[in-house]
This record gives sequence, C-alpha cells and structure tokens, in this order.
Amino acid sequence: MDAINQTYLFYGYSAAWIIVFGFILLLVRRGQRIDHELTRLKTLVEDKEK
Amino acid sequence: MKQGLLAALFIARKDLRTEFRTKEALNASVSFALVVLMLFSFAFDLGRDEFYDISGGLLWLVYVFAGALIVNRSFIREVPNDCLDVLIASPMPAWALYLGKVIASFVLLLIVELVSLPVYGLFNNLQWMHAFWQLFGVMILATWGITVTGVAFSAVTVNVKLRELMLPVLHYPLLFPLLIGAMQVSTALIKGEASDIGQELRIVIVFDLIFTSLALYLIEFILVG
Amino acid sequence: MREKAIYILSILGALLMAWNMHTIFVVLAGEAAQGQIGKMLFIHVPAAITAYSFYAVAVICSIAFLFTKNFKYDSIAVSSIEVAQVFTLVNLVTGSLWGHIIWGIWWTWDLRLTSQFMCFMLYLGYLLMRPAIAEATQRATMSAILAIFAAADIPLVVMAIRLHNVRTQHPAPVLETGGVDATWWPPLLIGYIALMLIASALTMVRLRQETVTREIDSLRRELHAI
Repeated sequence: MDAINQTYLFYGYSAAWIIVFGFILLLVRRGQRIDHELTRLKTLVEDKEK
Repeated sequence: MKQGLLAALFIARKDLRTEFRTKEALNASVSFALVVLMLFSFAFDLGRDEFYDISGGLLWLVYVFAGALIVNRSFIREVPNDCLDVLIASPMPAWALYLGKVIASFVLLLIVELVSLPVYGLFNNLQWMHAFWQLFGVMILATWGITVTGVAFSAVTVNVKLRELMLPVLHYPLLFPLLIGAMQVSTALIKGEASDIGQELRIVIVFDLIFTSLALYLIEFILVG
Repeated sequence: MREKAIYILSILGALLMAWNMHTIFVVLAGEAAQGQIGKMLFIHVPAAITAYSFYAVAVICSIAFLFTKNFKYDSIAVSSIEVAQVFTLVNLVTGSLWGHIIWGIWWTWDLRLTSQFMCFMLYLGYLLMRPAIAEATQRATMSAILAIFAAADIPLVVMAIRLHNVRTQHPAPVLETGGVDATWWPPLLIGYIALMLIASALTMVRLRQETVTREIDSLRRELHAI
C-alpha cells in the first residue's frame, strides 16, 4: 500500500516538474525566436536607412 | 438617463424589426434547437422517471446552443457598411446601444425557447404544463443572463479572427454558474419538487445583477476603446 | 538589471524548493491517515495559491490598463495569466493523482477541482483570444475586459458548485486537509514562497518577451513606412 503511495507521490511531483520545465522550454524557444526576429528586423531597418 | 433608455428601446425596436422582416436568425435558431432535441432523444435511452432527473439540464443545453446563434449576430450584423462605427459615433451613449441589443436578443431568444419547450415536452413525453409560469420565470431570468454576457462578448469579438469559434469558447465557461442554477431549478420545477429552490434561483439572480452592471459599465471600453 | 533580478529570483526559488523537498521527503514522516501520498499536499496547495495570486495580479493590471492605457499593464497581465495557468495545471494534475489514490477515482466534481478547472477554462479563452486580434490596443482592451469578466465569474462558480454538491448529495471527496499536522506548516509555507519566487522569475521572463514583441511590431511598422 505504501509502495503504491510512494510511486504515485513520485508521479505527482514528476508531473509537476515536467509541466513547469515544459513551460520554461516553451519560453526559451519563444525567446530565441523573437530575439532572432528582432535582430533580423534591426538589420533590415539599418540597411534601408543607408 | 431617460434619453439613453429611449435610445436603447429604439435600437431594440430596430433590431427586432430587421429580424422579423427576414427571420433568418430565428429560423436558423429554432431549426438548430429542434435538431439538437432530436439528437438528445437518440442519445439517451432512459426510462420516464430517469429522464425527469435530467430534463432541466437537457432543456438548458438546447437553449444555450440555440442562443449562441442569436447572440452571435447582435453586433456582427452591424459590421458591414460600417454601421457599427456610425452607431458608436452617434450621440447615443454606448450603454444604450448595448442595452438595446441585449433587449432585442433577449426577446428573440425567449421566442426560440418558448417554441422549443412544447417540442421538447412532445419528443420526450414530458409533463411541463403544470409548472409553465414558474418555468417561464426561470427562462426570463436565465435568458437575460445569457444575452447580457453573450452580447457583451459579441461586441468583444467583433474584430477577432474566427469569431464564430471564439464566442462559444469564451462565453460558455462564463455561463457555467448560471446554467447550473437554471438547470437545477428547471429540473425541480418539472419534477414537481420545487419546494426549496430558493438558493439556486438566487445564484441566477446574482449572476444577472453582477454581469448586467459589469457589462453596462465596461461596454464603453469595449466599443469605444 | 532585470536579467540579474530574474537570475536571483529563479536561483533562490530553486534552492528553496530543493531544500523544501529534502525536508518533505527525508525528514517528515508520512501522515497518519493518508500515508506517504499526503505529501502531495506540498506541491498541490502552494501551486493553487500561487496561481490565484497571479490571477489576482493579472486582474488588477487589467483594470489598471483600462484606465491608464499603458501597455506595461497589459504585458504584466498576459504574463501573469500564462504563469498562473501553468500552476493551475500542476494543481489539477497533482490533485487528480492524489484523488486516484485516496478515493480511487481520477476526477470528481468537488469544489476545489471544479473551480480550478473553470478558472483554467476561463483564462484559456483569454489566451486563445489574444492571438486572434491583430491590433495591439484592441487586443489589450478586449483581453482586459475578458480578464475582469472571468474574475467576476469565479465567486459565482464556487457558489454554484457548493450548492450543487449539497443538492445532489454527492459524497464529494474533499481534497483538502482540515487538520494538518503542526510540523507540516513550515514546509507548506516555504513551498509557497519557493513557487512564488519561481513564478515571479517566469513572469519576468515572459514580460521581457512581451516588450521585445512590441519592439518587433514597431520595427515592422517602421520598415513598412520606409
């Protein structure tokens, strides 16, 4: 009984951390995408101004 | 204030008159309600007594689905030919425009509900006539809640892509407390056990009061910005 | 400056969380009635309270945006809501797993789980609607309106569920602990603080992304104009 309890406790905490880290991963990926877009646009604007 | 109310009634009359000329939304809504009723009859194969337990719930599901069609149109019908811009630019206060549309949608949805109720009773061999006036009272209260929130969201989603998709997604979760109250009161009334439905009725009334005042206050921001 | 704040918050939060986990798993004994599974409390409840705190922040910022029209408030609102959604999801999943052990069911429409789920659905609508509005001011205004409506609905949802459970005589398993052992309070509070720190760091990261997105929008307009 306690063994099942511990297993599910492990599942619970794992699920919690997977969700949080999944979100962090999402943020990181989105951050990279918009940073890339920002540099691209900045170079485009500079080129056009020249 | 009085001018505003007169303006609201004017808008309500305009919308109702336009709708009664073509009856597009009414016909579509009633047909949709009938189709959903038919689907429910096939979906559930319950004995008479068991069906009474879910009678109120199913009724309000039908009303909410049919209501989406009516409520969706209220502000979106003004979008072609810049009618909405003209209405917003007019000296009429934003809350009057909103109230007028709510009243019009309310009347239309009530008509759909009154037409669907006998058909619902017919398809499912349900006795509802003994509680008609009480049911009508609940219908008025809950329909007001549905139209108040629905028309507000219709105004919100005027410039949203995929607005037909967005409105139900936004609207239905919000209606949850109202529907629980309405469903339980309706079931109790149809079953004839309506001795202590005061608390559920209170939820419906509180929902109406809160969202009517909130929407009337916030509609200025929604329409004008 | 902000980068530093993000790093400090996240490291502090992570350290606090690690220490808390050690306390929970190594030091504390299992709860008498529930056994080891009761320790799920230490992530389930702080996640819920963190989520509520961030929803509250979002609603306050939404109201502030409507009156000041300052986009900073809109950015804070959307960032807070996204982070709050993550923690609501954590709460729902851990609650479901806990319920499975204690009550043998994966889900029940009890007060806590249902109101959390409704919260999740209401603000999911918020997050779904945002990308569908192209213009920035309109998007911010409509999002603010939606956030306020959703917040007004939550108390009504709680009232309705409470009534429903009483009415239908659901033996609604109450996934809350009335009497918690005194030794359990410190880890609970520390867990809450740790999650708040982590959530704040995540919100600030998201906030920075919102600012960059607005800069991208203005650059696009400039490019279009040239």
